[in-house]
Amino acid sequence: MAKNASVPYKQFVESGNQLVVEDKHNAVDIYCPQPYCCSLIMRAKAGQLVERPKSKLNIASNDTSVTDDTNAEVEAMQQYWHLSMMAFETIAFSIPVVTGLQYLYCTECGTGPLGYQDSAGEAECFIAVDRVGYATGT
Amino acid sequence: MTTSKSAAYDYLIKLLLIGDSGVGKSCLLLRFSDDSFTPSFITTIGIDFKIRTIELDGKRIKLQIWDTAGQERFRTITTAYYRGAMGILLVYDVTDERSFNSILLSHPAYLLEVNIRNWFSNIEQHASEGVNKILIGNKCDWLEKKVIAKEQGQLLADEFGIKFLETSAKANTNVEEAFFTLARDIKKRLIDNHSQDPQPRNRLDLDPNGQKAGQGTGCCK
Repeated sequence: MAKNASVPYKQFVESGNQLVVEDKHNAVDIYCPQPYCCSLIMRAKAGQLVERPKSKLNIASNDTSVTDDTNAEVEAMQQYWHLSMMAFETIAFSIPVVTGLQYLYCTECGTGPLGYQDSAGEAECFIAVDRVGYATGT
Repeated sequence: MTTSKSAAYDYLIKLLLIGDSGVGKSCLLLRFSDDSFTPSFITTIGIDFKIRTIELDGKRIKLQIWDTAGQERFRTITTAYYRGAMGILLVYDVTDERSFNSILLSHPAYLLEVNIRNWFSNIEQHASEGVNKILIGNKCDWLEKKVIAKEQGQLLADEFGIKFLETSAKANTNVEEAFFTLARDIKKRLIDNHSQDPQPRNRLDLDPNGQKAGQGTGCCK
């Protein structure tokens, strides 16, 4: 199950680890980013690297306590892991917000949003590459 | 559908959490959600459902566990919510304060029992026949506030002919056990005794976006 051999995205890529394997699939297992949680979210090769608008992760709410400071700078697009709902090991869906999006959270600790599903658009799920932890040493 | 190697699973099981507001249904979904250190929005937005992969007898099983997301307050839990459900966790709060505070009733367990009976008949009315059920007394870690004895829960479950567990989402007591017990019973009913059940295929057809997630990968392949 959850192993603590997981590191944040930034550390993972800066250490020269390979993010993707053939067909842009994720090279390693992906975990909840919280050090106290590290729940296994998706296995290696479960998702495929794509670009989608960064703004998808902006929660339609007044409370902004969950905003990740490292993502503060504005950019139009960002990288996500694209996968079907059933390809997850574990993930929680918020109820749909007004924009039709459902946000994705860690099922164990509720950390998120880690990504989204757009019921008004593409039916599948997107996990922000920089909001999850990556397995090391495999 | 989900045919890539990494997405492989053997069965898909849809479970529902049913019960009054405030009994801790969402907390049974999110293990740490009661803890103050969780930097989470999901409890305020509300959880729709979660996906969890478990292994039972060497089979990979996807549990899709649905929360009522507060709809129970408006008594709008009807057939649509129950559609496709293979198992139901009927949850009550062993520290139930509403019954405690009731000036009309001297017996604290009475009002709660009426509530559970109401939920049980709601299930009987709307869920598919033969759906597996388990009665859950949550918040059992809160001993000093506990007003419903374990025996009372067990008696009610016996009367309904269903299983019973006391859980604590906060202390992570029996939560896994509850989901595994139900999943094991469902697997037994729908998969191991497959030939005796004429309609499991319909029950696997349950994706909220109409993707028919179970098709081709469910128990009838």
